[in-house]
Amino acid sequence: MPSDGEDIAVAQISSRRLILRSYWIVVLFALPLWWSTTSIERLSLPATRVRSQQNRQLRLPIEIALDSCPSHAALVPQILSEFTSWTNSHNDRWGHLDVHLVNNSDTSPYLGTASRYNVKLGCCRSTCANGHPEITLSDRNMQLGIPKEGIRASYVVRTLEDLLIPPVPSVQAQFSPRYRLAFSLLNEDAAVGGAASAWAIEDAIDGYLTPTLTELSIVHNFTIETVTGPRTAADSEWKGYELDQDELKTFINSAEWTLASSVNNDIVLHFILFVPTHSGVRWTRSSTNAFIIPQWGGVVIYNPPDSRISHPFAIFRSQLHSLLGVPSVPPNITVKTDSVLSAWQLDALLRRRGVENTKGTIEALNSIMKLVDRISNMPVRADVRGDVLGALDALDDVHTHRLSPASLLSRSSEALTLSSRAFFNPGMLAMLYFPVEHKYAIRAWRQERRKKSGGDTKRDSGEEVSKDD
Amino acid sequence: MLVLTILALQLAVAFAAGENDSEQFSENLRLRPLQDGRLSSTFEFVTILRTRTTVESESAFHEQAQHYTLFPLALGQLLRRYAVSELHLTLNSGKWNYESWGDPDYPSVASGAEMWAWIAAGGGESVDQRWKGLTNGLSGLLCASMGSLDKKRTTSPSIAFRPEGDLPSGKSHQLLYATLPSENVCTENLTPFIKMLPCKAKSGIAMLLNPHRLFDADWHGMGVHVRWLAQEGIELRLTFGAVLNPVRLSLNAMSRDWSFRSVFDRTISRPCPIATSSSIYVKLPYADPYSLTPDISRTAPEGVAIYDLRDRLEELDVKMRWRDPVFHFRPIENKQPLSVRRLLLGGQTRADLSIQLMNKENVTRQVLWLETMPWFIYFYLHTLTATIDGNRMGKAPPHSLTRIASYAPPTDHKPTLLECIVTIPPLSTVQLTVAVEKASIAYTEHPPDASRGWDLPPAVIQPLDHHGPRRIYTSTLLGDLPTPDFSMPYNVIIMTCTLVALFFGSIFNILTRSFIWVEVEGDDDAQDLVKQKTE
Repeated sequence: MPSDGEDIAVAQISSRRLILRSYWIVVLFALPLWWSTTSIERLSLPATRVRSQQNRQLRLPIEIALDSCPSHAALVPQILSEFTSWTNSHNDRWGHLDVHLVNNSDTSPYLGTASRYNVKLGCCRSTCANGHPEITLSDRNMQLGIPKEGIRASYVVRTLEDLLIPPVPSVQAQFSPRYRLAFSLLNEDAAVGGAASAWAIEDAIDGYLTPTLTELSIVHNFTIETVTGPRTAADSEWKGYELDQDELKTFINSAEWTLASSVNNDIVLHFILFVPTHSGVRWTRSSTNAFIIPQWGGVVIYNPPDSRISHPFAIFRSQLHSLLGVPSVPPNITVKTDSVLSAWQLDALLRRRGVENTKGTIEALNSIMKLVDRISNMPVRADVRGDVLGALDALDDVHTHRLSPASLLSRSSEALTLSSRAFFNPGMLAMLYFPVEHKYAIRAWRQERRKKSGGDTKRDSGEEVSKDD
Repeated sequence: MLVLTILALQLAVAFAAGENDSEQFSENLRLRPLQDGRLSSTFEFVTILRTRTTVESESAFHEQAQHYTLFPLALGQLLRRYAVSELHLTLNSGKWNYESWGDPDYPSVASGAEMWAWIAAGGGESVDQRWKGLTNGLSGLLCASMGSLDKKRTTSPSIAFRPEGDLPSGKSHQLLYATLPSENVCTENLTPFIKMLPCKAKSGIAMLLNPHRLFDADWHGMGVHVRWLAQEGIELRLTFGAVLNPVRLSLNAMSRDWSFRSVFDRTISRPCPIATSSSIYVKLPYADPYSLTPDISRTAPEGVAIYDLRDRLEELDVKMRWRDPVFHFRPIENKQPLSVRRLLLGGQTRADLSIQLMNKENVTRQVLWLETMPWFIYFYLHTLTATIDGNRMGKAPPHSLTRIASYAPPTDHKPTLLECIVTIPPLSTVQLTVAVEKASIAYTEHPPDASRGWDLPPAVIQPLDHHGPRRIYTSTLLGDLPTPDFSMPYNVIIMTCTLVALFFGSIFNILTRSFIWVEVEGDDDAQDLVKQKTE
């Protein structure tokens, strides 16, 4: 049956071809599946938009209308020219403001009343006979009474600078839309007789803090929690009556003291009234026996019958102002207002926080871009991309629209929240990242070891040979 | 005006060891010598917070200022934030020996972590979300793994764990119960526990909380019990129990004499001035002669010596000496009216769960048997059989000893819950047996020490006739599950061998062999051959 044999051979060859072909077809079709299941989702981030943010200069519009009584009309042009030269030479401080200094208050507001300040130069009444100018603030108006001796144009410019761009307190806490204020009463040792056991704190908060907190509610929300029981500050290391600068750093042992609850992640500002066992403890550098721990809170040391402290809460309020960065009004200026803070202070705070948040957002976005660029297998998912885009949109609003200070803050805080949420997105930490150097180092070390162990065995065998000899 | 307010709000810091109206703290220590030479000690720190409601919505939580004086702030905030009206959390280590130690001072003696809470529903947040927040908050507060009490471990029994206090009216509440039998209690849990006490461990009874001795005890456990009482307010009980072993601590002397110095290695040198009451109760033995120093300030009628710490200025070291210097172990007198034993018999997939209930009194008793098991254990309820003293009972009502009150099958990775009401005739032993199946679980669901097995939660026996102990816990079980071999080289070898065998084998076969039709014609020899072969 020769024909059968041929058939078999033909069938075998064609089926072999079929098998080999289908083998490669399977491999070919499996490739995209393999690719899609093993690749990391890495959406593109708007790199150019983020990069362009760095060169953007925030220009917050402000309009100041200068007006003067006829006798001081000559001062106005001097102030205008002095102002221009001063702001140009101090660009680092004035850079984020776009100030329109207008000569006449009668001109209708160009920017809207929220960013318009009126400065009225007037003659002094009887009160400023001692040669000092008399400055009164009410709402967004400033009344400047000029004494007979006259004042210099630079004085007006410096005063405006102090009010519009007050210096930043070094203890200012990081911005957060919500703070928790934790008030604690701590005894050095509650077991010893005469320890403070109670504190009429609700009245004190109502009387001293509530007005301030209500006014600051456009900047931050506050939650208050207090612990005023007779608690012992367990194992405080410090012994003695006079505290110096070094001891202040270790004064608060927050690992030992439970001062605030940990029910959420809001930033906590702590305020502590510390009652020592033996009265007479003083901090050498302060007349009020109080100090601020930067970004953390304030401490008042209370020696029981103490005439020097009017009320711990008056100190706590000023400590709170410093921690929140609320600008203080220079002492020579009187504020005529029903509220605790003048519009000038509040605006300056809103602007400063807005500028800080904008800077923070840009930094966070740049860090994300850098990180994603450097680590090539870091996943970037849709939520991260959405947050980055949202932050960029909010930043665009801050830069392009002429926002009022309050809406500037709300938009910039939104941008900051989104950008930090993108930065701390847990999805980006889905894998372990080892730098290339690290991998090379391990490979090199292994090769070295292999070589070494190879050498060792050779040497060992050589020794054996010599022994055998 | 400002001056006026300052005058009105004069410095109002009160200096006194006085009592606060809204919050009160008291502490006590109960000591009880046991018949096997051990010493049971229970520390109890009670804080009462008056005129507070517990239930809050999330927005109200942020708006209202919170003022606490003695109540631990961190715990108070958690209870308020998650609308918890009643909470019981215990972390125990060891097995409570009911036979020789009697009833515990606090009934929650389950090994490992046990937590149950009554949480208010409503207010824009589900009870499950609140439970999740609460467990996570408590694990942060107490440095324990309460965070893993997720919905895989949480059940809602319908009869067991009724509220011990009151529940605020007008809100519907839900009970959630979870156990973590493999959790251990150690120093890292005691440190935050002490931080919650107003006097810390600096004065008062808490001075005796010495971790070196407490965690060396034969049984130890801490508890956080919160309940709401309509008349009193929120009551927080922080408890620490330890069954110490003076015989072991006396080394070779074999003496069961004990003192604070010998068992806690500490004494109480000063009272906690904040506590409104601070007492030590020592249960006096009735059979053996003993002496107790210092002199007892007061004796309660039921044979309990009471030391009041508040009027005591000198150091206190309570000592108990027995006349017989050497302790002789005697057979244990078991006075428990009801004892329970539970067993899991069988292999890796099929097993029998059997529980034995012994009634030693001449009355018929009704008890609730609560069984919670992880999601991979199924009960075959139709196989539930009951025997009395070895005689099998029918399932028809006159013979039926059991009534299933509630049963939640393990669906969607939720645990199995079985609540069964059992009637135990007088002076008899009831044995209940049910067949269970242990399912295979995904390899990611196995614990890191997979071959050791799963710790299965204890069963809870709760007498329904309010006579005797409130709850009895059985010991935990170790469930042996079919586990894959998790070693990596083994898996790699298996995987590659399978691939080679399947692909290389079959393709090599097809390529080298040829399959053809062989036509067999009318050849007799050949047909015979085929026939022979088929035959």
